Amino acid sequence: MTYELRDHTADVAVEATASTLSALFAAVADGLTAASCESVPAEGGERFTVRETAEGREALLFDYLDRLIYERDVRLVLPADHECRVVPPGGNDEGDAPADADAPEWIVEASARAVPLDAVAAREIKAVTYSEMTLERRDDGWYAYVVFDV
Amino acid sequence: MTTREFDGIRLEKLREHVWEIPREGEMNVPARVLASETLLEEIGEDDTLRQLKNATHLPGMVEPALCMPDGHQGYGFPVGGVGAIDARTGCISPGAIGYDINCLSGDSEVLLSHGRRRRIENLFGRFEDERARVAAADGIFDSDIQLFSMTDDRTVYEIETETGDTVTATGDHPFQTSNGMTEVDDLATEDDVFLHPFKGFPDDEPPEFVVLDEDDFADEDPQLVRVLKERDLLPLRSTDDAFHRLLKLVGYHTGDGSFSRSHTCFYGDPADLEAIQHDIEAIGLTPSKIYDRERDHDIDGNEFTRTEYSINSGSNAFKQLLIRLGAPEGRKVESEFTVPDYLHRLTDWQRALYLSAFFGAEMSRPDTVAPKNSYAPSVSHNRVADHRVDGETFMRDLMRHLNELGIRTNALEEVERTETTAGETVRLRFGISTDSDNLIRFFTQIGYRYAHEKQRRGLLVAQYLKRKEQVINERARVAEEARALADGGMATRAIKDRFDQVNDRFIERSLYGGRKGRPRPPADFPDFEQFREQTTVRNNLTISSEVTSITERGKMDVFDIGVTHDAHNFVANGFVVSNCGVRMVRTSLTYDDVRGCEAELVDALFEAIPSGLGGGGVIDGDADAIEGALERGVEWAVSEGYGIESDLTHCEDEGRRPDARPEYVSRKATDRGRNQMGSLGSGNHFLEVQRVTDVFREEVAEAYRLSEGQIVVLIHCGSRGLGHQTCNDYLRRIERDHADLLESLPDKELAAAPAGSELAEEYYGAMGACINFAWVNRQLITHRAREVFGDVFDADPIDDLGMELLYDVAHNIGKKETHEVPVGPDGRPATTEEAVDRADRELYVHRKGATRAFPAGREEVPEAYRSVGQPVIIPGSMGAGSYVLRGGSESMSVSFGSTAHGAGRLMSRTQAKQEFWGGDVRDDLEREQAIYVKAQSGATVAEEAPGVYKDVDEVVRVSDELGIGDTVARTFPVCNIKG
Repeated sequence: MTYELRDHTADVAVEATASTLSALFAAVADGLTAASCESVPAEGGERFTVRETAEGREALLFDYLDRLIYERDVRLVLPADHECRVVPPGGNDEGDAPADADAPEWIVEASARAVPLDAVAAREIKAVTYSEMTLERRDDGWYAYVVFDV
Repeated sequence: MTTREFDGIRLEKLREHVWEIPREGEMNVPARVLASETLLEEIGEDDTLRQLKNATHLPGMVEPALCMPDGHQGYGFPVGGVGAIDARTGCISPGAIGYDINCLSGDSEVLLSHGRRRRIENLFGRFEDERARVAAADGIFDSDIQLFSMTDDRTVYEIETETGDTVTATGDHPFQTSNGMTEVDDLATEDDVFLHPFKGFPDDEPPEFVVLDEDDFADEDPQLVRVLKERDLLPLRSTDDAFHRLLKLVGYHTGDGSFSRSHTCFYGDPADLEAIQHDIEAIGLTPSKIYDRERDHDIDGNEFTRTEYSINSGSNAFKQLLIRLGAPEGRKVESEFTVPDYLHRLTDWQRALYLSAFFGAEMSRPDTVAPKNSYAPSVSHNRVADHRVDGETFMRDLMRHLNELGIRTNALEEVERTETTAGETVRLRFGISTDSDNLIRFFTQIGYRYAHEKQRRGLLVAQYLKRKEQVINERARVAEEARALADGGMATRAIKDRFDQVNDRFIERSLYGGRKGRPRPPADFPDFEQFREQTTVRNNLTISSEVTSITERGKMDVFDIGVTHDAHNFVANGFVVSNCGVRMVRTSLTYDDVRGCEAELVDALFEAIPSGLGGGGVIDGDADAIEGALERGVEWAVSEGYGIESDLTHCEDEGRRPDARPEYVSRKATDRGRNQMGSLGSGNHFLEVQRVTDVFREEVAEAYRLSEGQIVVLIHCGSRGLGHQTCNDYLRRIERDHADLLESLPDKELAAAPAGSELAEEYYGAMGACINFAWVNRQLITHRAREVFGDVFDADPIDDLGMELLYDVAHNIGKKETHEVPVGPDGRPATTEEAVDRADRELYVHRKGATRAFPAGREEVPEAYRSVGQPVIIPGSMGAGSYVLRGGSESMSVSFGSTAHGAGRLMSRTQAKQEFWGGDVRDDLEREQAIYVKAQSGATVAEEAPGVYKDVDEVVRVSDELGIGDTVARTFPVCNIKG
């Protein structure tokens, strides 16, 4: 899985690819961390967990990233080293909702290392946005593009 | 005709600085860019034009959608965008209470087990796993849900009661009344319906973690562990149903329980002990029957006998479970116990379970202190003097949890110290603040558990207070209307005749100013005891309330997301949020006074004013501060001593949005605001000390009290995380509730709620509260800056240094305003080609990175500046200076009363960092231009380097030549601090 920071006039965009949807979510979150801080110390900080549910794939990614920014402001930590498990409705890990799911609910269970903000020189990413958000299958894996408000 | 094309988007030049993208495809209106050719070249380089074109797809957009000269690519709408949208109201009604849930509007909130509530439409698909509270004849119980999906258009009615409760239901929906179940069609005003006023908390997903596992019982008999495992009590997870019952049991036991050898006892009234038995059984253990025994008491010489009721459990496993969950062991007054640690990890409704059960045991019952006023329900707590600190920690934890759940408390006090057999004992006490809203929230969201009588009384007090508030609000409305009529020249007699719901004396006091604060209820308003007599409270905790109105609210798809709605007007969410804005503070200092002190000043400001990520705020955002700021804006800050009177009169809207509705700002958002009250944040936000270098319009500068060489302070920041969270909260709600509308838009970030819908109203109210919060943020920074100047120049900042606010103006905001627009045959705004007339219409004017610029004479401009026009503050980049403009005479006809908001970015942040190095930028500025910069991060300095912005001089020239914002003065930085 990889991510890259992309140019955007006022904001910052993260572009990520991964072989599974779970890895993709983690890659975008790692991109968010990188956009916040150029060098994160390799050690330190307890891990914490979050769980979000949403009605669709993109909404889930949005809620997950929104939650990480919330946790940052409330816990006063920079979430780093993200691990994710995305569970589509029906519980398969193919990343597609079964056609017969009438109330699909997507779940992400994730954890991150909570690096105290006073241990890093981080800048503020204000919010995740839906602007130009892309989340789709490409080739054998998954691709995402997310713009963050700086 | 001159045309330009960028990436397939063609612009036609209409006249100097005005470029139009003609209407085509699904654009509702044409778009215009206000720019010189040079600026247009820059604007055309990124995605600005496509984003502007996308914005014209929003239904209700009034011609034209605009991009200001400093426009650049944003998210959703471009930054520098102005979109005016028809604000005609629609007809979606708010939901409230109801038992039979099959014909209610989708936004009705259903009360579920464990004090949770959820919108009915959001139960769809998972209702089988849920249990709802149901009011039966002999009590209120949890029950499986029956949900009927109604997809047809159905005519619905909004029923409102004297307590202000509302519900929207179809005509055949039956309601509990004094005469049994009655359908809405057969209901009339003045009939009584029964309400269960308990609302609980939103059904947020609890965080999942293991609370206890086998390791916690390593020192116990394996047999005990086996008992717990067999009952699925080990491992105990934070999401288990049993855990929620245990939260209540631990809370209650901490108040009115005891342990003896292997027994666990609970004391209380028989009916409440039955509820405790039920919960012990539900987790798989066996409670005893209810015991009673006569106990003799002697209190201060008064001897009496009382029957004490109790139940117990003989299970040591149960006892050990409660102890590990935080129930105190041994004599409580001599114990070290505090509120269990895990509580802070839980979601609101879970915390409320512990608190309400403890309050059921230990909080005083609701009562009145005067006929119409409530006394504060309070908690008293004893500890021996040696454990006073633990007792205080326990009480403060309770208070903190309450505060975090939105309930304000009075200060903790030490009531008395007495000698007892245990030694010297300290009694601590706090109460719930008694203002009506706070008490209503407490009784309807937390209240008392395992304490039926207290709960019943609390809900009754809540209904009384709600009714009182309704009456007071109505009287406040009458008073305001009376004053408006008097201002319009109507004779007092005629006004008195017009309002028969109040007496003549009330009108006189309203007109002649004989009243401080809000009106009181009328003399014949019942006191609480009378209300209690008039009102029926049933054993199932339902309370009668008189129907005051039944209004047809059109047709709606009952559970379908969204509502069939013929008004095609929308509030666009994505591009109006956080009231990022800018204010300028004058001083009587000159540049000569400051020279030589720049380094000291920049260090002192940087030290005093929180900036950057996680830097905290000027004040701690406790529940009172957050609510005060959201509700009352600068008015709150001034009343708390963080400002002076003229801070109000010189601020847009006098520093308080009248439409602010703090209750529509989520907890998640206020959580983020807590650490950020009075902070700059990072990115492009900054505080700058500047000197006035040029004055272009003497007469206006005089009115603004600006002159060459003068020192001013410019503060640029917004509502921080609170505003952004609010934006995203609503963006997601709109996505869920108005999915079909969203699909018709080219960019999801443009999500919009139909004007007149509940969501639109809530969003507008929440945004107003965020605007207030942003003003307070800038006010607190101003307060700190004044203190710093006072210290550095050893003078009084107001009396000696004249540090008065020039103006505070938001540039990221949506507002209802009236503008003259072309209208079609139906009287609604139309494109010029379809219009038959022009008329004033109310619009939601969205300014995203654009500044209101109303000309002289407009009543919205503060009186101090009305004769010259509204001050407009245009911050530039660090090395290029800033401008003060005034609203231009053409702004109303060209740009819905708007102009630019800054220089506008030219270069991305990543590119900026490749081209500049923060240290060099800072050194160059200091050496070559005598500008002192201090920032938390060198990267920020590089990202905000002068070269990454458009030429602010060019932006302002275009604004001036178009007559939308006229140059008044130019300023140049002296020192700058940023995140």
